[in-house]
Amino acid sequence: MIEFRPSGLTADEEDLRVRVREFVAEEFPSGTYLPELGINAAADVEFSRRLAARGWVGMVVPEEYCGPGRSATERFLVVEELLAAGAPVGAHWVADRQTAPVILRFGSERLKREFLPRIVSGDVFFCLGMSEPDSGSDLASVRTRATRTDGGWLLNGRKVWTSGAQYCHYVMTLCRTSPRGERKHAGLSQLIVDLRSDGLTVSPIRLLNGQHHFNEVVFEDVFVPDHLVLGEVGSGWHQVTSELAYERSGPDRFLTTFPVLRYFLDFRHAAGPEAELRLGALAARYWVLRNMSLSIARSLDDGEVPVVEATLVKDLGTSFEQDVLDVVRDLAGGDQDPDGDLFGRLLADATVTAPTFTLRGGTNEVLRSVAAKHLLREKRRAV
Amino acid sequence: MSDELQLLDETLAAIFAKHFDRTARIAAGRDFPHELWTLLDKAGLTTLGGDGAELAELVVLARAVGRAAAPVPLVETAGLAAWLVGAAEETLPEGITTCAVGHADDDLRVVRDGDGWAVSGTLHRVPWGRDSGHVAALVDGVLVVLPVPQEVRRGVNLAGEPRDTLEFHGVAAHTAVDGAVGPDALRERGAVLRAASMAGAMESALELSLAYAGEREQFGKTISSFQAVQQHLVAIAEETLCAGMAVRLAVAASPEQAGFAAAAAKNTAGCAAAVVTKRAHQVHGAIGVTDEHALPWFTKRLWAWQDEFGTAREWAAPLGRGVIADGGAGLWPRLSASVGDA
Repeated sequence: MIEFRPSGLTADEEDLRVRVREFVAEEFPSGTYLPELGINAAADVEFSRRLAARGWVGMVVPEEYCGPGRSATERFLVVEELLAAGAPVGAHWVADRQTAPVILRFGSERLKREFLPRIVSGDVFFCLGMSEPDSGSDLASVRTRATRTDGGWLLNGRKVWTSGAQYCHYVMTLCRTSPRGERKHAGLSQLIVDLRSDGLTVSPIRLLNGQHHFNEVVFEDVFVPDHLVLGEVGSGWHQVTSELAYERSGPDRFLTTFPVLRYFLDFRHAAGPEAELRLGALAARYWVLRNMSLSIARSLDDGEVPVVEATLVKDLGTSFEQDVLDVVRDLAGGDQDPDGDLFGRLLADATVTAPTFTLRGGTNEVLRSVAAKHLLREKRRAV
Repeated sequence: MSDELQLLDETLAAIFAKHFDRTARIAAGRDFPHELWTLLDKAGLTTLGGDGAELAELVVLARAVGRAAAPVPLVETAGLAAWLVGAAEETLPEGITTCAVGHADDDLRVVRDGDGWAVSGTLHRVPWGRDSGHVAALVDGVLVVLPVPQEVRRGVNLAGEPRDTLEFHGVAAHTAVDGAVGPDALRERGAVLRAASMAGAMESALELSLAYAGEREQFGKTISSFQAVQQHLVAIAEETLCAGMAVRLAVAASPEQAGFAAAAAKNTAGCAAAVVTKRAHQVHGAIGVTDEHALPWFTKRLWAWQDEFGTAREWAAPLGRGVIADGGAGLWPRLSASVGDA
């Protein structure tokens, strides 16, 4: 049976946290700016570079590729401070969270030398080309395909919900490199595609509040040189699923609406028995979820691959992010002006984007089915 | 878990499995399982808390009680009474010493009586009062250990565990000393240990649900292949894991964090119990609500224990007051405070 273990921090880790907290307090004095909401955050390239200058982007990249060689736990500590303050982490987010780790794990020496130093310096940003118009949670059904050509591949197809393609430099693209056979998970590969390539067009898909976050990316005979294939041709599925432990369990899966709660406490008057009861329940849940999420970072550092744990924490955390809004809205008394003060604006943004929390990275329903199968398998094995 | 805790856990599991199996449980009904108790006593487990035991050990014990749905007052004797008496550097009387729960209607009074102390008043909902020789209780900062009267007013909780009312009329106290532990600390410890038992009971409810869903066939396939059932199983697992983690956090918490962590543990266990009981029964269908099935051993305890030593709501309130007092800027440092060893 799975179990989560509390994990304290070393003196060095505490020290890192103090430094990040000071940096964040300087950059974002509370009440003077509209906080961002988790990974829906706007891109602020200058902020990402300032962060990179401190060694806090691509933290897990080792020194031989110009990185600081820090642990998953140290990255966790940096990221949670940024998210709790509502920092604009959008630009470097994907490169930092998952591209750097997967290039490190599966990339050729040439790919590592080409990309890792520039991720660490905040000069190269990635986005993810996974979903397609007909492939959402059933990711293995992607139809974007690459066919062989001299010195590389010709890519054709269409990706959607590609966050940040309008400012990123590369899109990590999951595509079919051989026709779909009996096993739908075979024949998939990951290609690193330059977003400035000929034949590639990016167009916005606006969110329901008008924000430009998602894009459609269309590939028409886009040439991708051989060396930009990540890992083995045909191993795309294995590689993509191994990213999931990084993708699913981080602080971004329970802290998205934290700034809303924080600003509620600062900008509105919370008092009385109902406020105590409901805020107390939120505090207990944050406490437990954060420590579960932290324990996953620790086990990644111990060389484990806690994919199921990560899946469960993502399900719990993203549902909780929505619950937080329900509580805050009730306590704030409703009818907050979406164009009003900082709290009103933040609550409005959070309310209309909340449905994305439990969709992105695989819907929670699909995650639960995956997790259930694992639990049932473990149970059969134990009998 | 350290090797010692692992050994303790395995010892308890082995005793419960071997000496209190399904047949023994049904045969015993609501009678006190003397044979089982003797074994626990011989293993030194019934007074564990008085021997300088750490909270971590008592939590292992409480969790094992929940996981086995063991109908014994181990939490009350080892986890609470022995701890209270040990902390005051007194010795326990022979036999079973249970612990009063600090019920709102308790009204003990202690008066000087020659060289000793005489105690009058009533203790409510005392776990296993009828089976105990003595009861430990806190009265205005004084720890008393009293002989249980011959006649008790019998009561039970939903799981059939004795919760008796004891009346004292000028009874000579076995022990009456300044308590080293205050009523709030007792209530917190009771909450953490109940939460640990609840986490254990949830683990068993999860195991039963996974097993049943994997073997029960309907519409020509096991019900575990239905997504609706899978969603239940995952929700049970998630809440069980949250409860377990909340308890472990309470164990790992520093003295400054202890109050917050204890409140969070009982709150989390209470919220989790509501989900786990509902969904585990939904997975089991009608067989789960019969007295021939094991599931109710666990769900009835969860329903009873969620109310004991404070409900989820009662523990949410102090947490909420803390949140409001800290304000927006203080919330994050409190939630992200480091817990336990690196």
